[in-house]
Amino acid sequence: MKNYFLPIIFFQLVIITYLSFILVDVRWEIRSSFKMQEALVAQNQELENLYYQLLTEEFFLNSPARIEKKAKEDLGMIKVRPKKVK
Amino acid sequence: MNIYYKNWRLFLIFLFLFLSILSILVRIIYVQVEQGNFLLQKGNNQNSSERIIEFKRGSIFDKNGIPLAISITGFDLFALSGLKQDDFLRIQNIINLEGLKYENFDKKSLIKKSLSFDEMRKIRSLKIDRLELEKNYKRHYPLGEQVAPLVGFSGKDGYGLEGLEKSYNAILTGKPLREKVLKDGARSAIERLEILEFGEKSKDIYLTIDSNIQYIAYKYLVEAIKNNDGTAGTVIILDNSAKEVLALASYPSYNPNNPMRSIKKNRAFLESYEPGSIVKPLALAGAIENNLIDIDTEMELPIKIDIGGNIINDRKKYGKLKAFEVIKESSQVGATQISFLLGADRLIENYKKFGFSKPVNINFPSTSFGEINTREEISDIEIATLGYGYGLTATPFQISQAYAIFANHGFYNDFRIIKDDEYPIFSEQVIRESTAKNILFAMTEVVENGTGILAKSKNYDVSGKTGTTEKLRDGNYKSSSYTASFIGIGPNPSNNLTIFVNIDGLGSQKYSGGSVAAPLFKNISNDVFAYMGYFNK
Repeated sequence: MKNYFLPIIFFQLVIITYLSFILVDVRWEIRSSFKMQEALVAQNQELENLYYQLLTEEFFLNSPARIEKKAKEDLGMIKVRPKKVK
Repeated sequence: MNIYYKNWRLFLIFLFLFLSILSILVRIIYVQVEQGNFLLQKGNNQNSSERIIEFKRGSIFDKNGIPLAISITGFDLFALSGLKQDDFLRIQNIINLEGLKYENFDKKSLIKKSLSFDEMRKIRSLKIDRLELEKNYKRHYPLGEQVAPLVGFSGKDGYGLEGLEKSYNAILTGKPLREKVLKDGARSAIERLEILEFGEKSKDIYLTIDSNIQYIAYKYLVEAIKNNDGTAGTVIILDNSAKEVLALASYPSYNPNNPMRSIKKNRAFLESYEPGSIVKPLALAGAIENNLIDIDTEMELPIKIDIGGNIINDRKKYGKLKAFEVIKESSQVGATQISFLLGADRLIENYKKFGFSKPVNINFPSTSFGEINTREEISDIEIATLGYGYGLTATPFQISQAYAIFANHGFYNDFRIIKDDEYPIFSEQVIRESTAKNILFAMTEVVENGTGILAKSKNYDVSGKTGTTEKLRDGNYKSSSYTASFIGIGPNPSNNLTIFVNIDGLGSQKYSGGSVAAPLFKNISNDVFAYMGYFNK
């Protein structure tokens, strides 16, 4: 039994050292992922801003108010009632 | 072992090394096991802090996904005390500080509001430590005053203060997340240590409003108010089959994007008024329901009725009119006779059946119920006036819901303003289908040959009813101020839409429902029916 004591201690020390490295690595992974998550949240908000800007622009360009103004003022169009459908 | 005993020096060295390693191990175990939590806590306290993550306020969209209220993320830039002039100049080279000059900042001072993400990144790249960037959300309302009285607005703190922004504040805001994070040397969060309070993400809401229909309603309403020297008005468009509100325009309005806005009420829910002749079909429906009269029963109408010195008269002597013609001509004398046929109790009960003096089931910050004269000792003149729309008040929304009963085969329904609302829709049959059909017939006559002829369209068949009210001021009816109303159902025969319009504050030149409100209805209905793809007749 005495002969095995030192190698077992040594083996345990190696395992503890290895696990410590793993722990540091996992910690680093967690922090990297957290930072990436923070960056992605910010990016998401930025893209959302852009999306809303485009959505508003699309609405403005398609808005009946703008089309009506363009039709009347720029193109000189007048309102005609639809013809009867027999 | 013999080697160690033989060479006692070597033995001593090994013993020393062994004891050193042992003492280190003992120390490690002591620090890790006995003091581990304490030291970890101490370290974390130095580098950790609590932060609150506020979710961006949810957006409000119309039924087609067009934004009615959105939040844009921006950043406010603050200078902290000790900011150097060189650093200030570096900032100035990147963003326009609108003439702001350097000063010795002795406290946290706002330098620039609402920076974009791009500007924020540029500022961060300067790595100036005496600066702080704070995220903020700016609310924007693309449709502006068209929907302001309905959508409302939220304050700087992101709390809904008016309209649907207020009613649905909890859904739109969500619940902020509170967490403890570890920070690095640059004070950036690098790890979440603990969630102190779970948050709830804000949600978007979709309205049943169609912004194109809303535009048509608002445009014609403003035009009609200006052309007729009115002061205010309302348009409500209901989809009878889907039980949804398609448009709800209220004037005067305000620009919710302007921080100096002056709030104007939503007249559709809050302006209860004496509706005038617009209630006559409701009274007739009550009389038919009580089997007191038929739609074509002939009535003998004197030119006037004297009730205790109060004269009720018509524009002309009709002689004999059928019941539906009383509606067509909007006869006061005829309506008075219908009132007396019903009597006070049944008349009041009938109006309540149509939803008058009851709250509307719409989640809006405040709604008016209107009221009905329900005094026990009700006089004859009061019974008479109840028949043609005086002595009771109702909001435009209550009147619209009441008329939708005729289009929905006698069923009273709640109308939704939020798509996929979780509240169940209340529906109850309050009059017979045949009665609803008869009243629609009478209302068609109003538009074809009666007081609402100016609502008649070449393209579509509609049913409708006019209403003109003298306004009550300080207990007296002021003949120089009128409210003109018109409510129509169409296009026949599908009768999918109920459209209510009214204009308030009209002078004594042109003020009747037939001459002011009916043409407004015609303009709106023509455009809305065409937009919705209904075929011309």
